[in-house]
Amino acid sequence: MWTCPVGVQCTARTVVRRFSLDTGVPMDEVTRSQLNRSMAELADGERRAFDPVYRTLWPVLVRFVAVISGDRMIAEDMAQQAMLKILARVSTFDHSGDAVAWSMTIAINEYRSYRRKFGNRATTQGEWTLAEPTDDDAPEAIAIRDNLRDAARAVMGQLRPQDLEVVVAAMYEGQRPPLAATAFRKRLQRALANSRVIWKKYYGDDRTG
Amino acid sequence: MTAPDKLRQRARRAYEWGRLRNGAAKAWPVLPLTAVSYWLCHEPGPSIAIGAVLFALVTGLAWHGRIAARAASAGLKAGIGAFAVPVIAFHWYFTADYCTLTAMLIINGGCGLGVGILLSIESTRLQTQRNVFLLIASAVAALCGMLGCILFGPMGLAGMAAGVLLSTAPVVIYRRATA
Repeated sequence: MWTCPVGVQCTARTVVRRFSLDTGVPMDEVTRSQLNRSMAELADGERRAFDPVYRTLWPVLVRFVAVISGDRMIAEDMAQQAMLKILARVSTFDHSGDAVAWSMTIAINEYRSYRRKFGNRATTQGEWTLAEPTDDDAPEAIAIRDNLRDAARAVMGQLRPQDLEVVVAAMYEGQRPPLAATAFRKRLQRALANSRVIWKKYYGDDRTG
Repeated sequence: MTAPDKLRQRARRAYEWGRLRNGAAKAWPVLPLTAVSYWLCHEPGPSIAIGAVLFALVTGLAWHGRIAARAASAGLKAGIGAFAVPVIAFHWYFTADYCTLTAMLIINGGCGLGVGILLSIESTRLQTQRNVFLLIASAVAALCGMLGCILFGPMGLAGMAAGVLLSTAPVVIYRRATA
């Protein structure tokens, strides 16, 4: 898996674990393919596909944003923004693509914009308080964990959509794009290699230190 | 946070606005065509009127989606050819001496005929609503071609429209008769 520093390994695992635990029943293949079909129809202008897409996507979006943000209240707001963005851009949805991965890419970008905006506001107002409740009591541990989590999120946000798709699929634990197991493994390997490159670009190579 | 029913309404509005923006983006080739027509033909009134109608039509059809959007896209592609042929023919081949009524009708009518045949062939690939596709695509292509035919005046416009009509109407009538 990740060859990043130990803290990042923990962070990535935490995100995966929380995502799979909090989501409860993951989206099954039938629902996923139905969503793909409905999204393609909606992209073509079939208005009757609006409700199925909206109903299926909304809970997935809320859960996904809740996992990456770690805050249910922020998640609902962010999911609303992401939902509006997704539906505004649905005409550009590629029919051969995966609707969930495509939507989650938009959600991640939306969340990153929010974080950037929030960060700027905090800087100007001198508010350095942490937004999220934490599990660990030690202040150092909280700071390290939050920093590493933000760093991992930033790297994920920089990934190409196809790389993000496989990473998201791996996070879903079994809900993969229609690929052979070997092809999926290779794509995941490539996605992780790319994420390592992005990590090094921003944070340097920690293995030597 | 917005209430669920309000969010649904906002989402629906965002979807429709998104489609409209996307439709306008798809109709962008109409703007340079209108500008070229305006510049070459020195007929601002007809150029702007046809350009505006064409832009609104393509945007509206792309917003509506389904077969209308596909027809608009195909009609626009064919229409760019229908626009270019008379303009190129007039500027690079025919001098003023050769620009007779017959030559003009042959160029515009032939161009319209060619576009109509191309669109008829394109429509055969569809499983359903072939005639609707052909009708919409022909209208868009004819309007595009008309932007170029303004050079030739009303006879040029009539030639292009007649060409498209002559090549598509028999196909539609035949399909209806055999359906």
